[in-house]
Formats: sequence, structure tokens, C-alpha cells
Amino acid sequence: MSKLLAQTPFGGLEKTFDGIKLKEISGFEIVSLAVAKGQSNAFAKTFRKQFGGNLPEPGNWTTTKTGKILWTGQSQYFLFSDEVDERLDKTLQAPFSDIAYLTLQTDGWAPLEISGPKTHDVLERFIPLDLRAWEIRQGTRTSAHHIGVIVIKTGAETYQLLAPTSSSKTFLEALDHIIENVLSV
Amino acid sequence: MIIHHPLLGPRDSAEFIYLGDASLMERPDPKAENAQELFYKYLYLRDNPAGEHKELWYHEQGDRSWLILTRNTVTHEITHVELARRSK
Amino acid sequence: MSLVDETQKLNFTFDGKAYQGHAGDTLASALLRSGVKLVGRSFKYHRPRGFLGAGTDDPNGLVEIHGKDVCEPNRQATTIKLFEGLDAKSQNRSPSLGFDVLAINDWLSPFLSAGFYYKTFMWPKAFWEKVYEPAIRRAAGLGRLIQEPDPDHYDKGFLHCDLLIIGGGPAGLMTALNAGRSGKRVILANDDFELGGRLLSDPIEIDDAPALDWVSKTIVELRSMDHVRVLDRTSVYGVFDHGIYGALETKTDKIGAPGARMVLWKIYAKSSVLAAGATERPIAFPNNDRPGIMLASAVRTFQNRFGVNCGNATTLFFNNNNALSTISDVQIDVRSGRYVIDTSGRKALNSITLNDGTEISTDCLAMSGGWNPNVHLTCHKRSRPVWNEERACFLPDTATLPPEMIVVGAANGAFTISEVFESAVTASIAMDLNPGKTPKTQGPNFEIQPFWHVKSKKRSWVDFQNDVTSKDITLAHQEGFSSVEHLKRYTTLGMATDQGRTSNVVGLAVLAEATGKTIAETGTTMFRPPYTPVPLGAFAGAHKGQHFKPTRLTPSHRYAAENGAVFVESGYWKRTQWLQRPGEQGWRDSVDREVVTTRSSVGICDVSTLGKIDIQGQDSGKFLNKVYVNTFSTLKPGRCRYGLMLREDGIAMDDGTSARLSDSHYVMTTTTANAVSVFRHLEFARQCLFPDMDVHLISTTEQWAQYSIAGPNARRLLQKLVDQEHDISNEAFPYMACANITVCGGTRARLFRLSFSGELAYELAVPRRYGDALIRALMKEGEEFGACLYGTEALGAMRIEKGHAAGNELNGQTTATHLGLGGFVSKKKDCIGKVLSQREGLIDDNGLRLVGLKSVDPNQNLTNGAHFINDNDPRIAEHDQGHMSSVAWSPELHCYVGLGFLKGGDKRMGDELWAVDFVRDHHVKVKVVSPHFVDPDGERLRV
Repeated sequence: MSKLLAQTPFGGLEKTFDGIKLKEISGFEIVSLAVAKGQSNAFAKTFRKQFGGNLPEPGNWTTTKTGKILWTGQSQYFLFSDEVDERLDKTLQAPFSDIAYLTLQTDGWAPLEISGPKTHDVLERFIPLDLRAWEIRQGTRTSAHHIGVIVIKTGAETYQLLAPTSSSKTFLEALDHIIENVLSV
Repeated sequence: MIIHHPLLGPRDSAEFIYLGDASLMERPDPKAENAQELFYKYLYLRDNPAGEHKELWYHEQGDRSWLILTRNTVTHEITHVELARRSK
Repeated sequence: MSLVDETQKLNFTFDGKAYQGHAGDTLASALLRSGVKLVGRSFKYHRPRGFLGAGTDDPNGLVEIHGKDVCEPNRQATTIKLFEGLDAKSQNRSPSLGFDVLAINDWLSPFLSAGFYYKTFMWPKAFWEKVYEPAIRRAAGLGRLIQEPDPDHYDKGFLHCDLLIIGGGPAGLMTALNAGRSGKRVILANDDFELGGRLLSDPIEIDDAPALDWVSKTIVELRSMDHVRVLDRTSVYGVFDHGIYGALETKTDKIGAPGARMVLWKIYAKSSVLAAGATERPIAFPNNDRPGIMLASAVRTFQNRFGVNCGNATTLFFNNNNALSTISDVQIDVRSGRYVIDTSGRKALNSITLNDGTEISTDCLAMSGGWNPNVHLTCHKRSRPVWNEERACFLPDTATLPPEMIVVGAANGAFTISEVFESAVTASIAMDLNPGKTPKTQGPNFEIQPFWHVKSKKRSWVDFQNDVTSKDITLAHQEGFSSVEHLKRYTTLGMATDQGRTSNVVGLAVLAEATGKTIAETGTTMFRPPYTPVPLGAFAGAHKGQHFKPTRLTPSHRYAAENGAVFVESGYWKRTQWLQRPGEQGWRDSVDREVVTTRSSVGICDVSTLGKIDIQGQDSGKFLNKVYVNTFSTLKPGRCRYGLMLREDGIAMDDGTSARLSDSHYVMTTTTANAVSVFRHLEFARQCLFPDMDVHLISTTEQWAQYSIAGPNARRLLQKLVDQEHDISNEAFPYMACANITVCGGTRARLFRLSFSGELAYELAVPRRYGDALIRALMKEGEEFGACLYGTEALGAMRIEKGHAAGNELNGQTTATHLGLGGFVSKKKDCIGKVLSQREGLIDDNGLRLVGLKSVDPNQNLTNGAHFINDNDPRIAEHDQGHMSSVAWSPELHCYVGLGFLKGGDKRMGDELWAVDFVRDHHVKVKVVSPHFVDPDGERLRV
């Protein structure tokens, strides 16, 4: 019985257009951290010990030793870790036991990086938020073309977009379509 | 409409789902003598004002928080927004 | 001062004839320059028409823009930016503009006055439906609809700014300049393809130089500022709540061009300035609608902006100073007591007659009855404009404007260039912007003497597009339709595509005179979005065809598609419905095979779409006790339990199994269709009803690929994939067990021993990254057993054979009692829905109960949705005993089996009654049986 091979939602996609680059982000895991009741202080302490840095404010992300962490809700965060480990929620359980509840989320999200000078021209036809005014620490979840999307600003003209894996094809088609329209003017 | 989320700032109401009157937060005591009558009122009887209305909205396409809005049903002006959870 | 570039020639056709125009032309200016004066036929009377206005104010020159196989109707030739290859056609005429058969309507006008279809065409009665109405409908309408799909793309988008400036004339430009220089994020939306507004058409001097110099300098500065965004050819069509505006940007008029033809923008603005200008009013006098009779501002626009002479002998008929800069041979100023009482020249004006008897030969009559500020957008939030006597116009009501809006320029009654700049300065100061140096301007003050219409027996046009005359208005009043709202609907004044742009005010002035009221007392109708027409395609954006809604694909989709899958849409999901093998004809061939294979060997089904909710926390069990009717806090780790969830009104909402993986960790499953709503319900319970509990929820529907493996060989197949260290024998892993395991040499997995089919079955979940690999591995290892992949039809057939309730039974009207699960509801605890589920109507002994049905004659099929009628009762609704909710062919029993709800059904086992399909008139005698048809004692589950 041979081992099962993992596949990524976009199959390693990388596309360059005039002024826009789309690239699938790979080699990372996402674990949801939900703080147990009454454990906020313990959680903040444990988090700093494990990952360094501060917890992000609502609507923001911060850098950690192994990647970054995004605020996703009251007492809830998404931890992004730059190492592939499908058991990361189990691996991280020990220091957080009784303090936070961990759930693997990686496979639920299809991740794309969009970058280049025309990035905002494309994203303004897709994402309702005021991305042009965003700082490079902001990230949140919103709705784009009826798909729940996580948007994270990682550079002046660079964003990470995560769509639910099942909608990855629809999501990419929508983006391709917008890029085509923006570039044909 | 624009809803000023207490934690996330202004967001388009399209990110939310509307549930109804905020009185839904006050679930009656199921052990009360007249529980059926209390639950009937809780679920079905509404004032339906033309004016200020406290209502529940769910940020489904955002942070999944439930919010209580005070909104004028005639002018749509939203005068107050709070997290439902903290109000208890 | 013409903006047209004569060196760049553009070829176009109009009504099949070839013409040439220049870059910078509109279709209208190019036609006029080519000597084409007749451009349309009026709506009702089919009178020959020329251009009345030169921009968005023109009601007459509506044309079709043609593309390959399609055309866009009702486009104003005065707003189409001329492009190479434009193919346009006139409308509402047959066979041609020059000779229109329906011009006979003009002679029949006495029978076609306002509301004619309520007063004429009434006899004989039968003729209305068969003759008159069809004929009237055929003749009605201006543009025609093409039934072909729209070939163009439309995008939607979102823009944010501190200040949205609506209108790119002098007021808008000056405000944009001040705001931009003050560092504000500005969006300047201008509906024309050139910025400048009236400065493009009127001979105005600014700072002792032509106004166009100031315009050019301003544009250069604006376009150089990063934080100022100019949207050309963008009309703001609606003002919505909280500073949200709708705008339509036209990228090109050409049909079938690459890219998006239009972009619909949702603009979020902290504040706005309405600088939408004003529209000139015509005067209503007899035969005022001939080609060659135009608004004075339009004559100036064609002359100055486009370099087109509208006539060789131009006459000016006016009541205000603004008209004076129109070049004309003869001036008729109403303030001197003279006015026009008739005109002649059917296809082109050739003379006019004045009240003093003078006849003047003229081929162009420029008229000006005053100006109407374009207040429309101020009304979208319920503000009503107020009448201003001095300016003879409606002005925005500053007291009730949308809170974040300021109105400037002509839109606020500033009708000279110095007044316009002054108002922009005032607004800038009010917004804490540096107003800058006010440019130097000169010119006469604005003075006006109201003059609305000439009383006459002949028809004077008020609404040119809907062919409404002043006679119609006085007739409406005579017949009792005297309020301005009734006037509008009875005469259709202001209801055409131009929404009364040039006609509303004249119309209500005529009405005021007829009723003896003042214009202020008469009031005006409300304006609602959209201010200008917006194609439905623009509202749809990219959401059409395949992209109307998102598509969600399952982890096995690719494999299924490679193997003959037929897919069904289930909400956003595409699920395998069945898989067709070579030789199979209809769906029954495939579905029956899948059921037989599963029940005799092993079948695999993708159940990833079912909702999976990860529930963690010290109070998880307590929380589940509140949302399920039965108890979950007592469930041991390593076990699953079926749960039923109610709405607070006691109606069953969803059912599924929840597994306990550890003391503080459960995984709940929901049905596919209810995944989102159940999650929402749980979050409501968690945050609003029981906020003191330590419990967190997160959806893991997308995280795990999950496959059901069912059939007598299910365990044997699984044992080929599950790693050795995990004992999945019946003893170690009994029915309803669950565990974290590994498969295929260490891949993380979860195994649940659950069965929807009633066979020995498991659900195996792996992180979705392995979903495709796992289905292929399962099918490969399954070859030994003749395993098959099965879809939702086989899934459905098998659960019906077992009597498991699903969406058809949990239909929003049934309770636990109806479903036969009354005993399942814990008596020891409260849960959501418990109290109201006990309402007497819902627990009535004779209420509906879930039963099984079989046809008495095994050769007869059952119909889903059929209603049950007792044997001797008349087969009518009054004797309805319930209905069939699910039907399937059972290959094992070689007959149809059904589930349904029957009044008092639990006490009627063995009864025979009729299942009547009233739609197909199909009557079948059925017997009431247990709903558990196959393996009723559930032995296969526990092997």
C-alpha cells in the first residue's frame, strides 16, 4: 500500500500578466486557536513563549517565529506556520492544553498571492474593502463574489487571498476574468 | 448600509445576516409555570416600530460575531452597535 | 473652441447609410454635421423628430447600437461617443424614418389623448382582447428587445473616498481642485467623456482667457494627483444609505469589444458634493416639436463644442438672460411681449408665427424657458425640492438633504459662472478646505420671467418622449386627476426613459395654472434611483451563466468526472448523482447497479459535503445537550451518537451524528443543505443564549475529505488501507465507534463507524489534500471486491429502504413526534425547541406520523407527493390524510418503497388506502407498513 500523495488546490499555479502576478502559496499549515474561557492572559503568555511577538488586534496580523498569526474573531486566531505538518494541531497541543482549543484548517483554504502594480486595480473589482488605504498589517475575512475570502496585506502591492478549497476553481475563474477585463482597457 | 463593527470598524451590511428583534437574546425560563406562553410571546409577538429598533445581526462573512444594532427602521440611521456576547 | 479633431476621421452608418464624423464627436453631432436632421419618430403620434438637447437631456434621438446579432435599444445619440465602425439605427418607425406608416396616429390624435385606452377601443367587447390590445401592444414602446444573449462583459467594483464629487463642470472641477490640494481622497465622477460641463459649450472667459484654458489646466493638475481619481463617462445613478452611492461607468459603446463594457461601482464616500448642473427647459407652444426646434444650450453646444451649424437662419425664443449668448439672427424675448404661436415644416422647421402676426422664415429655433437644477440625487433619501420664485425653479431642500451631501453650482440654482464659482468656494470653506483664489469672471446677472406655455387649440408638447401635450394635462385635470402624482400616472408625463428631465416642471406649471394653485402648492413627484438607465447586465456583473453563483467541488470530483459521473447541483455544490458505465441507458440502470453492488459487496460515496463542525471546550457536552433533543454529555469518547436538532418553535431543523473524540472535543455532522444555517444557529446559541459556557466552534467541512464505505466487504476493503496498528475488528471498533487513525503508511485520518445505508459501513476522513489520492486508492484496492463509487441517487434509495428521515421528511413542518422520534427527546433536560414542541397541535394523537408505504399491486409504481385518501372517502382535499414524502425503487425487494406522513399513522399499520397524485391523475392502492424495509432488525450494521 503506497503512501498517499498530497495535492494543493491550485496545483502549484503561477501566472504572470502585464503588471500582475498570481502564485499559489505553498509549504505552510493553518491552525485555528480558540482561547478557553478565562484563559486570555495565560494564552497571551503561552503564545509569546511559543511564537514570539504580540497577538494581533482585530483586523490585523502579526509576525511570529514560524510565520504569522491573524485575528479571526473574539478569542479566535489563525496561526500560519511555515512548515508542512498535517498534525500541527496535535503537535502544538501540549503547551496550550486547557488554555486554547486547536483545529487544523489548512486544507480548507486555497491560497493565492497576488502582486504587482495593477493589484489594486484588480482587487477593487473583487473585494469590497478599502485595500488601497490598508496598512501592511491588516487582514480580515470578507465576501467576494459570494465566496468567503480571507484577505491579508503583506506588501504595498502584495496580498494573500484565501478562498475555501471547494470554491478554488470558481475563485480563480473570477480572478482571471477580472484580470482580463482590467488589462484589456 | 454600513455597520460599524465594534472591533473591525465599518463593514458593508452585505457581510451580515439579519435575524430579528434583539429580544431574542432573552430566552424565557423553560421551567416556568407558563413556559409555553412565555416562549410563544418570545418567538412570535413583536412591536415592529417605525423608529428605533434593537436588532440582531450576524457577521457571517466576517468574524462570525453576533451584534446588537440600534437602528431607525424609517431613516436607517444606526446609532449604536455592540457585541451581543458582551452585553450579557 | 471646438473640441472635435478634424484630422481623425471616423466612419459610421446610420439606418444603413454611410457617413463620416471626427474624434470628439457624438453620434448626434456627426449626424447633424452630415445634414441629418430627422432622427426619430415620437412614441405615440410618430411625428418626425430631431434633437432637442445635445447631451443627456435629449428625449428624441433614441437609436439602436448594433453589434453582431444583437443591438442595444434606446440609446441617446447625443451621448454616444462616436467610434470607428459604429452601426446605429433609428427606432419606432416602419418602414423608415422618412416614411412611417404609423404617422397616421398623428391624424388620429383626438382619439389617442391621455388615458385613451380607458375611454376608447371599448366596443365590441370581444375585440379588446383579440384585436385592440394586441395591436396597441405591438405599436407601443420605443425600443425593441432582442432575445439573444448579451455578448458583453460587465464588471462590478468598490471604491472608497473622503469626498465624492458628482459632476465635472466648473463647480465640480473647482471643488475637486480644492479638495485634492487639501490632501483629501477624491473621486470625481463625470457622465460626459470630456470634463468641463457648460464651459465646453458656452463662450465664457475665466481670468481673461477662454474658459477651456482653465479647464485644461485644472484637468492636468487633477490627473496628476495620486489621491484624486477621475471617473470619465460615469453617471452616479443612486444615493443609498450611509454614504453609499451607485455609479455606472461606460468603458465603450461598442458591442462585443474586449474587456468589460461597463463597470458598476459601489462607492463608499464619507461626504459628497452634488455638482450635477442644471437642465434647460423648453417652452410649450403649438407644434414646438419639429426637427430644428432645440434648446438654446443645445444650439450652443453643437456650435461651440462640436463646430456644427444647426441652421442657416437661427431664431432665439427665450425668457431669461442665459440664452443671450446663443448666436441668432432674430431674438424673441417674452419679456417684450412677443412669443411663438405656431410653427411649420413637418420633417424640418421652415417657419414660425408670432402672436403679433409676424411670420419668420427660420430653419433653427433655439428656445429657452429657464433652467431646472438637477436635484434628482438629493431626493433619493426622501428630501423634497422646494420651489424658488426668483429663479423660477426647484432647488434642493438644504434642511433635509442626505446628511453628508452639499449641493453646488447650477444644481443649487447658481446660473452664472461667477455664481457657480462662488458656490464652490462657499462649499469648500464649509468642508474646511482651502478655497484657493476665486477665478475672475464676468457676465450679466441671471434674470428670468416665467413663461410656461401658449394656450391654443393646437397641441403644444410638454413631454417629448412620451408624447404628452399641454392639452393632455388640462384634460387630466378636467377628469379629476389633479394631483401631481395622478397627473404623472394618468398622462404618463415624466415616465419615459428620460424620466421627465425636460418636461416635469413645465408639466406641473401647466397643471398649476389649470388648478389655480401656485407651483409651490402643486409640488413635484419624487425621484428614485436610477437617475439614468442602468442595464440589467451591469447589475449582474460577472454573475451570469456558470458564474451566477460559486461552484463548490468535492474532493472526488476529478475522479468521478473521469468515470462517467453525472453531477447534480446541491446548493453551491456539484455532487455526483450517479456514475454511468458503458452500456447503461437510463439513470435507473446505473443507480440500481450502485445499490446492488453496495448491498452485496461494497460501495463508496463522497460525503465530504455534509457539514462538519468542530466543537471544543470544557462545556461542549453541556452545549450539545442544549441544541440536541437527546443527551450528548454522556457520550463516551470514541463513540458517535445520532442527534436531532429543533428550531425554537419545536420544528425539526436538522439531524446528524456527532462524534466525541475526547472529553472536550466533539465533531458534529449536519446535512449538506443545512451546514451554514446550523453553524449560524449554534453560534447564536453560543454567543447570545449561553455565553457563559466554555465552548468554541469552527467549521471543518472543507478541512476533511470524507468517504462512506458501505457493504458486507466494507471492513475487508478498509483493512487494506488502515495501518496495522489500528484494530478495526468488530470487537475493537463496534457500530458507532470513532477514532483517530492513520492510513496508507502514516497519513492522518479519522474513522467513524456510521451507516446511512444500513449496511456495515464506515466513514473515512483524511485532510482534503489527500482526498483525490484516497479515492483512487480506495477504488484500486476495491477492485478485488468489484467496488463501485455511488452517488446521491443510490444514497437516497438506500436510506429510503431503511426508513431514515432526510430533507424530504425534515421539511420545516414536522416535529420529532411526526418523525416517530418523540421518545428520542430527553425528558430530563431542556433543549432549544423543547417547550414549544409540546404545543397541543403538535402532539395531537391523530397528527401526522412517519410510515412506510408499499403498493398493494407490486407492478404499480408509487409517486412522491401523492396524497393519502381513505378507501371510501371522495378523493378531494377535504379528505386529505397526509402525503408521500420519499419514493425509491428497491432492487432488493423488487418493488417501489415509500415513506410518508399519515394522520395517526402509527396506529394504522396494515391499513390500505389510496395514494392519489392529483397532478398526473394517478391513483394507487397502498398499504401502510413499517418504514424499515430492508434489514428491519438492523443486523447488517453490527456484523
